[in-house]
Amino acid sequence: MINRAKSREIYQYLRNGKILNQEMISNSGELVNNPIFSEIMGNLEDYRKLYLDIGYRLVDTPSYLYLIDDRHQDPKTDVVMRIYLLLVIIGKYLVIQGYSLNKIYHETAGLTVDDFHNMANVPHIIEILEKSKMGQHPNEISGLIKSNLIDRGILWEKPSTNTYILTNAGRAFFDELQNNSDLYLNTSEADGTDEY
Amino acid sequence: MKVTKANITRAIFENHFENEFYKFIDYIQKEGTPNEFPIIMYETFFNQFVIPHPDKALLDILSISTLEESGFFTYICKKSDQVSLADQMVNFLSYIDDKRSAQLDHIQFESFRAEIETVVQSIRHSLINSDDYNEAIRHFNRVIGAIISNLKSNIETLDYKVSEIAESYKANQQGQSSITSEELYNQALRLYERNIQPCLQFIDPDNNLKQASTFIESLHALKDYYHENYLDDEAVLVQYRMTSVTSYYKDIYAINRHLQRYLRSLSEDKKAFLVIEAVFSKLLDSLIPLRHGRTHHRYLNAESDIMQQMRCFDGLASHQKGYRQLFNRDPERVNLQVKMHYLDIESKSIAQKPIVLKEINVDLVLQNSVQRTDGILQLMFKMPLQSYIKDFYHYIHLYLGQTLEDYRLVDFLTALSCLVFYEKNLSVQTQLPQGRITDNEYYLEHIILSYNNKELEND
Repeated sequence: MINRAKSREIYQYLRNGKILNQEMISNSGELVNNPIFSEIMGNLEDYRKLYLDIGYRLVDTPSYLYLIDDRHQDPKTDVVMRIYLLLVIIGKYLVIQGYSLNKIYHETAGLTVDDFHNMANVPHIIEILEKSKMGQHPNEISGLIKSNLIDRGILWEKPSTNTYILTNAGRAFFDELQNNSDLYLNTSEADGTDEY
Repeated sequence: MKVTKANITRAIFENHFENEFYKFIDYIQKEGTPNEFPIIMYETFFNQFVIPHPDKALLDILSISTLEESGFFTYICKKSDQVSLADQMVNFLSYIDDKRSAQLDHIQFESFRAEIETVVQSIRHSLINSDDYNEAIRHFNRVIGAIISNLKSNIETLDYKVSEIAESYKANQQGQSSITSEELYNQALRLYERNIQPCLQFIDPDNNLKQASTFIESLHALKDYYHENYLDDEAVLVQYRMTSVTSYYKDIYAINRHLQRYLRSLSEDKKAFLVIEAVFSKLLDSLIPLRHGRTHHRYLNAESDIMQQMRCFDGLASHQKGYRQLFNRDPERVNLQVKMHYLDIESKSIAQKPIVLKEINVDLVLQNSVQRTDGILQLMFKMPLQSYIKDFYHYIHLYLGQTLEDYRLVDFLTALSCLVFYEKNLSVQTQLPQGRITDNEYYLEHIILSYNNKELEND
């Protein structure tokens, strides 16, 4: 049965275009289960119906969920495009720096604010920002990451260290890239995981 | 006094200079030179550690000329400015420090294998207990001894090298390593392919070669040969030698398993990075047509190729900004959308905004034009009266409201200038304001003024 108080809290959160993750980061920097997420998953059908009745659709995956406007026909909203592009920029930055993906996956690692500043050196960054209407100055990346990724539940800030790692939703983006690797790579190039 | 190799070795270790000499070994191993390293490296060491040292005897013992005379350096090549360290010293220093031992590679294992194959054939083709046989047996024992010794040292070195990779991997995961994931992957892969795999193959009992005998097959052949000739003690001895070598299999297997963990993770990272590179490249490709596009095609949008395969957050938006978004639509569909938006608005009742009235200021009378003021005064002279009017202000207010177009409270104030004509019939009923008249913008609180004219009673 839906918990009314939690339901209000969930609605306030989701209607702001934020993503609700299965986990959350505790003050000590550890990943713990998100009770709000559990509330929805425990009453999924009720919540689906509730949102459908007020013109929304609940997009629920096993690790994250968010709300979409049922009347809105175009799935590639400006918000979504900005998120995708910023995540690609972060990925490219990791490649350039030679960091492992675990730098943004693992709670003991994480990107720093300096890393955000250094993303200004990613090739063609000015053009990417301009063509995606995100500004014209690479120094704005920190602010863009804050408003598009951190505030929306795609990056977590670890309070103890001021470092940033991917949330469940953020990981889903890179997982999706991997799952679609054949679309991006030739088969021969993708086949880099020989067993020894 | 002639300085011997023993004096030199003692001087190195007693004064803790070995770490400096390990650097020469590192250079030799890294560059794969015939034990050569740049003479400038030795001169740097000499200037930094030997010259300032209080024991001045070291100046002679560790001088380049002494080292060359004693055979510690086998030669100095003036042309290339390289000095060659004696092979025995290279082996000795490598032997002392596990991590400096050069790990065996494919060629060395192949050399061991071929040597064993040859010597086993020599043993089998020699008359037992003949000089040739005994010579072959002695050589066999030497080679087996070298193999066991090298294998043991090799395993210690490989264990160290894998631990080094593990440390670099952990640092890399934290983003604190100077070495990139790609470099680390290549380093780990090279260690596996060049050193671990040949070692595994060398002692793997199930390994087969097409046109030659493996080390294990050669020993089996020798053991069978002894059994056939009823030399069971010799056969047991061969089995013992074989077990001494194969017992290292589990050690090298464990090292390999350890390395594979990191190789797999690095390989996944490598694949992930290839995908990210490809996506980024696709992103740049999708920018090209936008460089010279007109307004409609200047920005990345939903039709851009790069967006098509990314779906995990599709539809996400800030829903509290819904109305703004409704107007920010595709021009080709805007007519329909505006119509739908209009119907949407029409279906909802518009909440009345509460009106907050202000107290009227007498100065506002000046806003009325001369014509309007004249018109109001004329109306006032025509105002019908009754013998008794309880609230004369309210009466005027109602009268003007009914007769004057666009009546406002300021018109009432204008009308008050006529009050003087009614003065003798007016009486104040309340000292405090108890009446209130309003228009859509202002209010006026007033005292109650009654009008009383008995002359009109009969009208």
